Amino acid sequence: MTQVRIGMAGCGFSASLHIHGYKQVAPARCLVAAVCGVPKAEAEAFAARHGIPEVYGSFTEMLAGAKVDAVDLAVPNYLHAPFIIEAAKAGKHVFCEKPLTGYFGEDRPQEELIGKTVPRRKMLEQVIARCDEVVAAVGASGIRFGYAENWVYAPAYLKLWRLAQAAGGTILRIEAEESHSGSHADYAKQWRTSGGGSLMVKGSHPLGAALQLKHWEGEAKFGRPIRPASVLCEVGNLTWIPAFQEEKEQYLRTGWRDVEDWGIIVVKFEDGSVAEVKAADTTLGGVHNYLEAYLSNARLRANINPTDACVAYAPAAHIFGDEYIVEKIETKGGWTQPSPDEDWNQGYPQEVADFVAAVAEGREPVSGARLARDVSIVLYAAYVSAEEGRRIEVGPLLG
Amino acid sequence: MAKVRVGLVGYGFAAELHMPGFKGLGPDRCEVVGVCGRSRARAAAFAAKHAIPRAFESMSEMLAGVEVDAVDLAIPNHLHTRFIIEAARAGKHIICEKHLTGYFGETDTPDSELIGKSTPREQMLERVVEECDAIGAAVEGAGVRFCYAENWVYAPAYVKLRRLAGAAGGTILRIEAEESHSGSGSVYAKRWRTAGGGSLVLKGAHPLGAVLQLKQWEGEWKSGRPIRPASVFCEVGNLTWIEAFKREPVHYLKTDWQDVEDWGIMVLRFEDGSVAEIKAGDTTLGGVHNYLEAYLSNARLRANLNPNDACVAYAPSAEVFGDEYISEKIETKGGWTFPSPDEHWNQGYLQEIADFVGAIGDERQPVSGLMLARDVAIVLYAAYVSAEEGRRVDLGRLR
Repeated sequence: MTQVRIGMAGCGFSASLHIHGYKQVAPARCLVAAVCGVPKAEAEAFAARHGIPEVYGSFTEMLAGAKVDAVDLAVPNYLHAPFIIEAAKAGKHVFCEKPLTGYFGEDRPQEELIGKTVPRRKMLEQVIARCDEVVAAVGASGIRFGYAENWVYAPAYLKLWRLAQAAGGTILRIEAEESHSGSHADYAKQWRTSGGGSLMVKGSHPLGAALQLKHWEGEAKFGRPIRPASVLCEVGNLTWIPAFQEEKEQYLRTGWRDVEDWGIIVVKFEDGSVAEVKAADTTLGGVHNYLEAYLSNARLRANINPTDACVAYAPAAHIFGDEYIVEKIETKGGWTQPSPDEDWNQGYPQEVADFVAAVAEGREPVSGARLARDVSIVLYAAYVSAEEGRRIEVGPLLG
Repeated sequence: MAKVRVGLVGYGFAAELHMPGFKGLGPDRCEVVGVCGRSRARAAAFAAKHAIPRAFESMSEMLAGVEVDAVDLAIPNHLHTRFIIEAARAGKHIICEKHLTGYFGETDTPDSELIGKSTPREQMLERVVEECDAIGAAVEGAGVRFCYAENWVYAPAYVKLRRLAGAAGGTILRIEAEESHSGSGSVYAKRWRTAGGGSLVLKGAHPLGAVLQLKQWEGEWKSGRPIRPASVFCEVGNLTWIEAFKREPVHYLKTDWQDVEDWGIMVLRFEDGSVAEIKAGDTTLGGVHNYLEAYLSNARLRANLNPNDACVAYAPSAEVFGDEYISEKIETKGGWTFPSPDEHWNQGYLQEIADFVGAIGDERQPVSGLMLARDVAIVLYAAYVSAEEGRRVDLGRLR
């Protein structure tokens, strides 16, 4: 078995998540051989912390200098598309954090709040063009492309899919959500850096998982995927409600500049089935990630986080001290559902292992370019729906 | 408090549902003094069963023959408007089963016509608005109380949720609510001509009423005026018409929906910027699924109307519990179940009647009154317009 040598682009939060995944793969099989980052000093610190031998000050330098088979793009969203194309040209396999791409206002450098000024239809056009460019570059080079949609690898989700297969019934309806009390990062609050609000940053996960489920169902039953046909979407800024703004104490994150803090996408598939995909930065009580599938002969629910694998109660918030409970929970007091291993529950080590195996074995990863493209286009079509207040046909856009 | 004398119109399912509420209040407070219906024999049988002194063949005969303070309209929806106006003109207070009204075709529409396939939703909405206006004018002109029998508003879990929302005092940013099960058994539910719509009308009206009441209450409590719905965006579907479903040899879901939807979702925006997601399905296995979740700025609240885990049971096979009732629409008594200790009480049937009798006897407004009844009817049909035309519908002009 060959060892897959990885070049890590980026040294932030998602780079750390992925490093933990690579470390769980046997060293004979995978090595993070290099890291690049700006400023280089941060990449050097990251390399020291994780025992990575080579450090570069830019992605281009790493591609030219490091002996790697694949690159891991743990960089801001707007860099995904250019880096993928550059890596593909250099013949390197790519593992890309979600989302594949978006609209980041490169054509309007003078405008600060592009979420308030740019028509969503314009954004959608550019996103489709960029997706097509990326897919063409990947296809031409023959590299493997892994899309880091961890939900598709979450154990509860995979168990749900196995149960759905065992039941064999039609998946009539899917409900899925990712919500919490709001991203801390400033980049998430502005369209120019995030490419959208709750739907983009959170909703892309449950959306990816819902699309993948219908894709699999079609392939398993009819030998061809079941594709999304239309979307209807509503977005809102719940933290802009005047009564909320007047409140003295705010438990939810605020400061969303030109992106939504809540949204819902209703997808209709070509077979007539439906999915309700929700995302919010306005939900208290810790992260709320689940997918529920209503079949004709079964009902299935994957609680991705929280789950009740472990349940705790404390009469005061200090009782558990520094012990981790669960993502974004506001207090450790009262009843909680502490996550025994959040990374594992959410599929992070599994997505990395699948990508390494795909490269080593010369096969497609479970989550690849098709899912990545579908998610990006459906998301921006949803933004068009919300802005124009009408249902959007996505079949022709997806091809 | 004065004793309230009630004349019951109808002797069917809804009449049976209301009787325990009246009886529970005791004869000093309330008495059902007469019952009427198209079949004198059936009215007499109902009277004998419930110890009601008089039975009549029509409401006008009942109003002429016995002194009543209020009528309880437990009759099919398409008769509501005519009976409400007649009762109001006679100066009688009114208790009305949901819905207030709907669109059931024209007087000369053949009973066999599938009006759900032939009638534009805009035409239906216009008619519903006209009828609501006529009802409003009659009730207000006569100065009688109007009580809208939306039991969700009286369900103990919902009332507790509202008290907690009041104690927290935070802004209600988002509400999610659903009523679903595996499908109505009755033939009348499957045709627009008799049902006035599909899942949204027959099931969705409940969570919709509860959602609208919660925002009404929030506004009245905080600023002295209700917070009203501003727009609706809706999608409907016929999940049991999916080809793969139709080919399945065993169907656990009810089928044969003729011209009405078996699934729908309404996304509401309120005038303060808050939102609600209201879902209804006749395609959900696992027993009735009725809940409302409220996301506040400083609290998160969930009312599990049915099922809830007040009682939890397990049986290794479906026969173990014999004839003992488990919960509405559960397909098997085997495996884990959540038996309902007292479904009437849980769903607010007794409590709604107590409020209505109190409102009439004490000359105060009921919690669930005409504004709620009207808003529910209009929002539902505006939602149908939205789904048919694939666009968001503004509700401002309809109030």
